[in-house]
Amino acid sequence: MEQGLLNNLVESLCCLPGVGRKSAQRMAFHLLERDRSGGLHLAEALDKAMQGIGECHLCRTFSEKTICNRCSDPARDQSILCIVEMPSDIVALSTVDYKGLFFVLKGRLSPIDGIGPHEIGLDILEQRLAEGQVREIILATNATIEGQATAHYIAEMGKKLGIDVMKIAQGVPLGGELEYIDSNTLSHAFKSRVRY
Amino acid sequence: MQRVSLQPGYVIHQRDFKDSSRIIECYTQDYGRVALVAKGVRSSKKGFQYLLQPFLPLKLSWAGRGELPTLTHVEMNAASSPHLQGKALFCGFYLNELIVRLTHRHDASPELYQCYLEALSTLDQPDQEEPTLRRFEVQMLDILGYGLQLEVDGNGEPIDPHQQYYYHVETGPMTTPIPGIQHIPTSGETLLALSAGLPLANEKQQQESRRLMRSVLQFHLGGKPLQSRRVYQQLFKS
Ligand SMILES: [Zn+2]
Repeated sequence: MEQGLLNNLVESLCCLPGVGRKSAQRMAFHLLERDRSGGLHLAEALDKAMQGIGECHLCRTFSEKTICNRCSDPARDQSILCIVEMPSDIVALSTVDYKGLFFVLKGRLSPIDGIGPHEIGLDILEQRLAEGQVREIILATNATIEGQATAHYIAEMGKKLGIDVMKIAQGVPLGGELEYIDSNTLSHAFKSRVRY
Repeated sequence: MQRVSLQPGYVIHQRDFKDSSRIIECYTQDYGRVALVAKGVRSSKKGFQYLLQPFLPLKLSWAGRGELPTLTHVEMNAASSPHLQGKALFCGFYLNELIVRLTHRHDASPELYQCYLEALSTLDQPDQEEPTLRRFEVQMLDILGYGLQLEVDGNGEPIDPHQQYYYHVETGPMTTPIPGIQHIPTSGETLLALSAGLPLANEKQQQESRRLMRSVLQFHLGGKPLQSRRVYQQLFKS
């Protein structure tokens, strides 16, 4: 692997997650041998996406416009805001029947790593909540300790502003058999039991 | 090849490693702080990854050579665990950062482990954050060999509860400040309370001991400030 261009291509492909030198080489050879038009198309799409995609000023998810399609959709309920950690969480929640808006933290509070409220946009969120349009927030951060810490802090913020604070339920998964469920999840499910 | 089975311990920090694994920093009873690779935990849906969370009492098994053995098994060490919330939770992160920053890997101290356990369980009680942190800081520095001088002053005289002292890590408490050195003004009463692990009676004692411990810790930590303290202040002091 001495040629400059080929070497450069292989090394660039290594920036993809899960791609080491071997598979990068395979991809490069595949494009060069069999699919040059596909390669050019990929190059163009990558270039356009990297230049053209920013983040929505309201929900912080990826968007080509300053306000994304979801946030500017009049059919969505502007008074409910669901708070998630990552843009990919919105995709995961897109199958759920939910007509409100989202806010993406792009992370979670992680004090030891120095990730505080500013780093995950909580100042922006607080401003948004203070504007008064949002009446309810739904916390959908991950069920990790850091996710819970983040949720707790946002809940306090919401309550101070007189906003209804909800959190997605935690418990027995559909199809789950009790004896195979870990004790923490079980005790959570038990504590948050609901009227039948 | 080292093989350790069902060692009591806690996860204190973790970070992603390669594509699907994590490096788990643990604090254990008999092996001190160890870093373990949890292979494949980010991609597989099965297994023990849900247990790899801070503040859960765990039993950990690992095997391997060198600096980074592989985590092979995890289970809960107790049926229930302290459920830290709000301020107490962020104090817990602070304890974890102190352990990461001040202990060396493989420097085992069952005594410090016990103090950590006690600190977690008192944090779980209402309004115990400040006294718990101060007690843990004093105990930890003591166990690690950086103990504070709290019973006699710099001249070897016993601490007088009614006297005002000026504390510096290298001189201990002095009755008069030495020019050119930054001292933390602290009452004899506060020094004695810290020494005895007594609850800090009032706001003045709490404030004095907070300042004192902050300056002593800063000295031992070198220039780099504690991240979790900065985050705590952003969250709760605004
Ligand atoms: Zn948007």
